[in-house]
Amino acid sequence: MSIIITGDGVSRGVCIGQAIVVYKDNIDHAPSFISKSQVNSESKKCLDVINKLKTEYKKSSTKIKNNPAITKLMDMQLSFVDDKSFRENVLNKINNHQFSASWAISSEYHSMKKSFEDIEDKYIKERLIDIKQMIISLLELLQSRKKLDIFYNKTIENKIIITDEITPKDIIDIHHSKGLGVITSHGSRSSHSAILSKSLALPMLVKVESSINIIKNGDKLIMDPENQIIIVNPDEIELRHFKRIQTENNSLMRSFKKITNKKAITKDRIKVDVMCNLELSEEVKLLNDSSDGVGLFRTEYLYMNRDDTPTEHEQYQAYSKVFKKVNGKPVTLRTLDIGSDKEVSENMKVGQIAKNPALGMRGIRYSLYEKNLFKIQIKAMLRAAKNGKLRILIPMITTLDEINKAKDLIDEAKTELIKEKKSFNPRYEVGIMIEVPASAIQSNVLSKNVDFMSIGTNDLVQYILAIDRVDDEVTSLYDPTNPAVLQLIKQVIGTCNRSRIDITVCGEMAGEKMYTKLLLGLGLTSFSMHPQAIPEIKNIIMETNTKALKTKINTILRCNDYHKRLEIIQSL
Amino acid sequence: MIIKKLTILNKLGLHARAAAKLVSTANEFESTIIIKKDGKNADARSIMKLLMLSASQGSSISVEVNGADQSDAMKSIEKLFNNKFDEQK
Repeated sequence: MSIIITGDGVSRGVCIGQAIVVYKDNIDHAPSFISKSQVNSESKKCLDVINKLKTEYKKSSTKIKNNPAITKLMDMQLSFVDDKSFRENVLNKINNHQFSASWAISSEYHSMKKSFEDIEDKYIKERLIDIKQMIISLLELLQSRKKLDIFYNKTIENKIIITDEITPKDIIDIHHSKGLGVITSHGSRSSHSAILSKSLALPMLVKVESSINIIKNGDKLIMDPENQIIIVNPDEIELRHFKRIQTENNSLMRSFKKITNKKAITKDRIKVDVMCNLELSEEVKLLNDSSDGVGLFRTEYLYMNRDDTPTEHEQYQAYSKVFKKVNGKPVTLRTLDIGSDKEVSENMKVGQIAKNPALGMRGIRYSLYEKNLFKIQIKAMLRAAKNGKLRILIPMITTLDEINKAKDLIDEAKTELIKEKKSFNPRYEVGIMIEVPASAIQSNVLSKNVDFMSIGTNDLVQYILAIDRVDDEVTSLYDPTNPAVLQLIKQVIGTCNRSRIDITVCGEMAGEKMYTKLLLGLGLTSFSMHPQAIPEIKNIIMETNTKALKTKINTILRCNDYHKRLEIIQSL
Repeated sequence: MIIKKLTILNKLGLHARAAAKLVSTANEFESTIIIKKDGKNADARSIMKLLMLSASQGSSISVEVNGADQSDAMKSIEKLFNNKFDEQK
């Protein structure tokens, strides 16, 4: 019998395939043994990682000296790593039973877990979580490759991946390993992982809370993110139905392709720019003549999942790839913004970024702190744009002062390039992201000092409404149609249109069909979105008469009832 | 060897912080120190084993100390138990 479960759909596309269950914090190591001659080196290796973790814990405990509650917790963790019987048992397994170090540690964890399961005291029982955390850290230290590589793996080819949480890096790995789709029990539709899965056209459903209990390895699945459903072990009728939808979708995509090369002009003859967002330089493959340029290239992925930072040359090569592909159309490169769910190597993290990165040292704040990193990136951009139209986009701008400082650094980068006799394009535009409410409110002042602006709706909405979009508890309160949000967006668009500087919306809203007419009605004439959404959005633009939207838009801006507002937006 | 029966008096029982305190007390001595409860044994130098005893308030345990400094060790442990692991004033 088939079972139907639901979740939040992210990227579209019906997919049918077999499930592979991958839990990242899985400590089930396959048994592995070593030879007698390896016993000494293996037990030394084991002691080494225990000591290393001890040192790490001590270090972090002294770092946060001023918080006694955390220090106490860390000391507790320290006594777990330092545990005498744990160490003895693990070493015994290595020395007398020739277990490999990781097998010895994980099997010791499993026997501890069993003992903890019998404990009734809830508080004591919960300590198993701390122990598990320690075991995971030990196993990570033992492997030179981190656990993060589990998705870069042949076994997931043509499979639907079931997991708890997913990082942007995982999405990239799954894409490379040719996974069919992703189902997670946690997460959010507006996380960076979700954005990435859209741009890579990888079907995904998040917040499928029952997936852990219901879906088993090898189960046949149908997933339909658009209709928010997953069918586990479907019957013949269901299979036939969804196979038919799959074929229909394919032919729909083909018909969309026909309009992609047309210009997006509304019924009342307004030319609208439709640009694309890129995350990875490899994505330029998805670029074709359908877009009017690159509206946003997020450069974070060059910095992710590594211990060092990318060199000027490496970045130059990545950016050059994009410039080569676009044939003289504008390319908007955003300078580094370590956002909330992006993985950046530990040595780059500043301040409390691990705790509340959204309000921390990110975007331009980080760049003004690590000036050299910023200049290296600017130099790579200027060089790569030698024959192209470069638009430098600066994230997280809050004040005019930051704009001026960033411009000074760009000038310094140019001077350095001249000194180094490297050729570059001296003509470029400098623009800012509007994502901090302060800069949206001040857009009139800021617009006089920049060449263009770009509204990042995801963060702007998050900051206006004080909603953390990756927090499961509040993510349902995240509403880009809140009148406060719409009024502010309207104000920024109006300001830019009056000062005759370019204004683009590059957040999620720009690529979602339900908001296209709304944004056109607010006066927007430039959209940037993931490449997959371009045909559909262009289609809507070409069917719209913006003059006819006026009255309804005014009603929406004044409507404080969520459901009514949504109804009017859908009727546009 | 000295053996003594003690009762857990503190409200939370032998939870993580109390166990950590017992471990650090045990580490001050050379003697082997074993805590027994309901047929389960735990080395007083292992926080994990102590937690697994799941000793809540009111439960009685027996302490076995064996070694050169056994009487001093037993005194310190007894004091720790009677002071409710210093957690309640």
